[in-house]
Amino acid sequence: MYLSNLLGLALISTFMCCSIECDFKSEPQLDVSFANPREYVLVYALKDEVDPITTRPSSFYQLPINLSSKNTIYIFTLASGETDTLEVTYSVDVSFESKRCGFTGVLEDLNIGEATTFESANLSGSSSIRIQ
Amino acid sequence: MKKVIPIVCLCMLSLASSAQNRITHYSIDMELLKTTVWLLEGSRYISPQLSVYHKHWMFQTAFGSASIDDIVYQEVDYNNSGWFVSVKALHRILGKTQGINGVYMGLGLGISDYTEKGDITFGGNYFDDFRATLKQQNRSYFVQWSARIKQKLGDKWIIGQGIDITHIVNSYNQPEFPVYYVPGSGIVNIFGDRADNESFSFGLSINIGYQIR
Repeated sequence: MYLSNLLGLALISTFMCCSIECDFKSEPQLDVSFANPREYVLVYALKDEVDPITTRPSSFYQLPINLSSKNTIYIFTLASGETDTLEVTYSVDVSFESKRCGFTGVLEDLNIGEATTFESANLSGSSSIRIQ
Repeated sequence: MKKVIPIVCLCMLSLASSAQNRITHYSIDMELLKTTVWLLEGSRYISPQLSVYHKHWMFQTAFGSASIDDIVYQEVDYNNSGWFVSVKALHRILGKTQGINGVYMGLGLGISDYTEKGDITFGGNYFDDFRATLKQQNRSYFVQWSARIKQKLGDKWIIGQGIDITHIVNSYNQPEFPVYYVPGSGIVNIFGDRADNESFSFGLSINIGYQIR
């Protein structure tokens, strides 16, 4: 009984120790959370066309980051047509991370850009922003 | 008098033998095996060599140029472009004391200068695919242990076969990815981590030579 418990514990610790997280290998996402969410009916990022990321109001959004650019601008649209803007700037570093992960990318120097209209947007992690 | 004749004969034989030992042969050689293998992969590898045969020794100097294309690490479209120079001294361990035919073993030193480039693509869902080019440059110094079998084909042509074991003596500059291929040495990494990168490589050689003197 004691031995089986010990083996179980060893097995659990093996899985816990070896769950390695890799950096991104595809389009990464920016986590944006609102302390006081507004009723946005359209959220999209600036590119050649208006391509909705979501049309559902929420207090938390996962927004794609454009790796081919040094910045991404997101537009949050209210039903009235009024818009808020969030801009993030960054650089991308791609290299071979490890045999397990292969080639991955990391976002470096993530910052809030000048086009941002939210007055209280702050970085809250390596790829997340908190808006009060 | 009976004693003098054999002594003179011996001296003449000795002189003739030493005269023959002084004969030095030269050949221009071209690596065939690596060139063919890489050509089948769509890559270019050229390595002309000058060989000097003197008594029990073969001295060889090789210059090589390589542009290797490959898909490595499953994700990267890889290109290696560079050159190498090596000099070797091999001693004949089997065969006659003169001429070219024989089995040789010896050591060499070399330098290899190469740039590795990797193109990688990350698929985009919302935005377009992201493409990045990773580049790193290295100058590697190596010691090479070589064994060769040399056999003349007719009057002028020489066929050579052998193996090379190469040890890269300095560390790699690999900020982007583990060094994969060292021109003049061979493949030093098979999907491994940087820390597992080999400083040894193993290669086979078949070359064809033409005796110029």
